[in-house]
Amino acid sequence: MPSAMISEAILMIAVIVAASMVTQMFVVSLARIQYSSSWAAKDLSEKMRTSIQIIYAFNSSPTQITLWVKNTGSASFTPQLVKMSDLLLLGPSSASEYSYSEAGHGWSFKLLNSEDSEWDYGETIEVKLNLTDVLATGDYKVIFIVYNGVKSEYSFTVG
Amino acid sequence: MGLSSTLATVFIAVILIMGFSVNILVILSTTELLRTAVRDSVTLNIKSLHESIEIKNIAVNGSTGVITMNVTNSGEYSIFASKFELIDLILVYRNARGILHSLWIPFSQNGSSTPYWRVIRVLFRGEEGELVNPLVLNESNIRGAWDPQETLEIEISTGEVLNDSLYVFMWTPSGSKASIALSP
Repeated sequence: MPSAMISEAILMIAVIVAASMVTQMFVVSLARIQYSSSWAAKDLSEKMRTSIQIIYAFNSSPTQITLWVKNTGSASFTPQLVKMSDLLLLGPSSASEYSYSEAGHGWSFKLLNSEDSEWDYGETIEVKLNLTDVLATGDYKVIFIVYNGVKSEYSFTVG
Repeated sequence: MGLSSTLATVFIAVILIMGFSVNILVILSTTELLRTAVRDSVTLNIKSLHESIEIKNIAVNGSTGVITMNVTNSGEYSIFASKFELIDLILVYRNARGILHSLWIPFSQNGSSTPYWRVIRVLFRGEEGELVNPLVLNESNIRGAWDPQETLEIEISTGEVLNDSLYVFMWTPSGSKASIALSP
């Protein structure tokens, strides 16, 4: 009888230790799942609320393209978020990617009809893309991609 | 059944309950987040689909650089005067020297500096006088709405001499577009 109790006690301790380890692993895994699910949902909802539209683009000089981009979604953009956007220019014989640059080669922007510094629903930004080379005649496509991957494209002709 | 088996069963039960609780919590928070996003997105899409404008009767005074035109709200939603600043108006034209310009023109009812566009009067079925949400466009007091079937007679001033050939594009706040071209 005492040996049975000792065996039961050892078994109980083993079960408690094993169950504690399993519980800990389970809790950690659940926390990770919860964290990643929340982030995925947040990311998805941001994308669903984001919508932009290039309403017009043209070559404002031989080495500059101007485009006007309208925020048609419910998500607002701080200037920092706008600066994280990418601009692609697909030309007749080349394709280039441009990042934000306050001066020189790259693109810069200004808000046209906003009362604050944020780019809100319905508001338009003017984007100026400064190039190193003169634009050749032909058909071009500009693609403006905001920080979360939502994009808008516009085709126009030079010359 | 010994005590260890009972304990193991209790542990498994606790783990299962915790798992279900966390899953339900995640599903609930995710659903709420996505529900709000879907609602916002659908609302704006519906608004965009039912918002529509038409431009008619354009006239250009090339020497003063002033264009007048009628724009009718042919959609199903009113556009409030407080949102007129969110209307984009783009003019593509050649000036007197033949140089091609593309200009984004801001709304400015007092027309203090060129370029600007402003509302001259509102027509309903061809006559002056609104029935609903009358527009008041004083500098200090902008209220009212551009309702369905109402036509705005607007003035665009570029501040420079124009040729007779031009394009006008107009976008509502939700992104619906109308355009008109004028050739000599």
